[in-house]
Amino acid sequence: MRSLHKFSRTVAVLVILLAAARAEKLILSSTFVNQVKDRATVSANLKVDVHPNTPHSISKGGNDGDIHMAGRAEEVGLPLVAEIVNARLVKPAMTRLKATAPGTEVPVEGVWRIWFEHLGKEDQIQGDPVDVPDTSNPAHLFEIHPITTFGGDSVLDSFVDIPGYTAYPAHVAFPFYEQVKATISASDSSVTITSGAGKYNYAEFVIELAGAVQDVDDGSFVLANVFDNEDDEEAVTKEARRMVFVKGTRPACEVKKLTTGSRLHVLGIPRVNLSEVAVMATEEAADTRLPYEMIIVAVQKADLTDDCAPKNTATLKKKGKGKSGSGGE
Amino acid sequence: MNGNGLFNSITLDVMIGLVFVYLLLALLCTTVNEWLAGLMKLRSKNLAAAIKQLLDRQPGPGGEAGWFLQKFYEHPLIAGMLKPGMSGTAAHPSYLPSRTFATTVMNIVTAQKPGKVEFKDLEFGINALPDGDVKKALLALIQNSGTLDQAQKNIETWFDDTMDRASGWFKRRTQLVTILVAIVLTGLTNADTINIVRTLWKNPTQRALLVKQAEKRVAEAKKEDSSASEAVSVEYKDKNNPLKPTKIAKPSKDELDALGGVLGWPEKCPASQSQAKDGQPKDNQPKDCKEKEVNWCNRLLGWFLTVIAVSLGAPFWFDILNKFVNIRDAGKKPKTSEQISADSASTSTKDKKQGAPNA
Repeated sequence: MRSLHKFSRTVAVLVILLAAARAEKLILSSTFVNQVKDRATVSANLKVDVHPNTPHSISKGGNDGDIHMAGRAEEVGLPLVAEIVNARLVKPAMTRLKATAPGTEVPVEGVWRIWFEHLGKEDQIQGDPVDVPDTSNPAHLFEIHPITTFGGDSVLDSFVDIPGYTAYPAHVAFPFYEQVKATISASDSSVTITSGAGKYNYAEFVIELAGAVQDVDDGSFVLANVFDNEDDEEAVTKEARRMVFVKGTRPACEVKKLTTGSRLHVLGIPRVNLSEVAVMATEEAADTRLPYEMIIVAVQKADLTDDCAPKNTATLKKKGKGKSGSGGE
Repeated sequence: MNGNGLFNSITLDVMIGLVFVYLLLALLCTTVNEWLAGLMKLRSKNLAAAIKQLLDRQPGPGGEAGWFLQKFYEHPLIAGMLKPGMSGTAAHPSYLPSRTFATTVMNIVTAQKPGKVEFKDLEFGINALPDGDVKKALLALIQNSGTLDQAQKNIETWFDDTMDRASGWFKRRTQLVTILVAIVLTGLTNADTINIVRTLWKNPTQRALLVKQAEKRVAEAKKEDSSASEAVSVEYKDKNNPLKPTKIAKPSKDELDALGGVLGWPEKCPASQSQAKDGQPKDNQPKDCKEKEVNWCNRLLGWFLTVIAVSLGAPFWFDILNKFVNIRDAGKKPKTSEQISADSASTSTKDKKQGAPNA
């Protein structure tokens, strides 16, 4: 009995070690990296191959209220999944998705996101032929998540807190993000990132602005220290990390009202920081920290201001159209 | 190079070496300082002191001292921000939005008015307070406001102004901690400026090692600007520019190793062996035993100079280092044809020696 216990313990340790050691290589084109590294979003004509008709339920972990769609896009050239957050809130886009037949091309805009979460068995090389996926969540490292427009329908309204969802607290998620290891290298035409499995998609945290908000075409970036909402003294990040805000969203409006030192309680998801990768990739950086940044999906209710509240649907649509250039209704 | 003038090769190299030591010590000092500031909850203490200054001198209706401050911390908006299970400054938040401060203050003052509050209720509530500093301040703040919104904004500005001053206190406290850390670091590493200069002056190998590391750091910093250097980790030098990450420039292992030759405590000489009968050190004793007896006046002065230098901060020393290295580079004489041929002769001799076994 005792030896059986020992054996099962050894097997468990081996399984954990194997899972931990699992790493996947992502080879990106240098041109693509330079194009998107300081942008919030990408645009693509997404061939939607597989999608469910109902969003995830809402509770915690993967039950986040998102809806996934697996597909292919020439502009990306990688296995990819696109996701609408808070899908129940954006009915026109949901109706459009439900009516989308497999293989239909739909213009999609959204936040590009590379995160080593859904690892496969093979390396992913940008530009290689992409297999037609057979599930809505195939092995993929590239996502368009959150989507900002789907088939011309703006879904910027979805950048709000997910009602009923319990995100990972900062003291759980960030220590993990901070220690994810990677090997980064580059050739004349490509950038290679190898990393182990990532996790903790949605984290709830407080950001304290470490500098000014800098606008780009499709959003804003700011450096910020990160705190747990229950411990505002000790930052959970070793240094200020980059936060990504999408133009036309409520979080982007709220952050612009802040100055250095101000704080904002937010919900966010991590992605690889390609701007830092581009600097690190000039020579091979082995066993280094995987650079990441946080996409801000929502501002928590207590920190919302009236100035950024959508006045009415018409204004909001106009705002989305004018600012993101995405409202094609 | 000839040996004359202030900027002869040795003098300049000693200066570069010394500045480089200061730079690395200042970088270490900053790291320790940041860690301590978090550990000592300096920000919480600072905010608590600022709030106390604003609200403490307002007695309650029964003349209780500190009544308003107590009500402030008991208010659910503030109590909800205190860390559960802790007390005192450990429980205190380190940041408080001005909006929350103003709302809480107004709510305490208008506590007697149920339902929707209007400007006249605020005015009445302030007037109903017993004489005290908060009453005086609030009356002054609402004097020209006329609306509840404007009154709230004025109270927020009052809080923000105090916080601006509080950040000045925080900076001064941080400077004090920096000096204390510099004293400890200087003592632990025996970073005696006078001894460092003496060592660098006498020891050309150590001098060359430090100058090489200093030049490497300056060269790498220049490369960082073009984002084209070898890098394993990055930072944002300008926190206002999140689009320009650059390579991290914390002390490397090589740099810290290079410090080993000029910092540290000498080995203790065994008392019986420290000197031979003729008063000269024995040859088989540790090298440091051969040094003359410590002059504590010099050592204290050397430490004092180091502490002052380190507390000036890393950016200051990096700028100085940059200038000195540039002067050194500008002052390098082009090699003469004899030197070039001598260099190539020595290189070819080396090559032949290395290649000999295969020949």
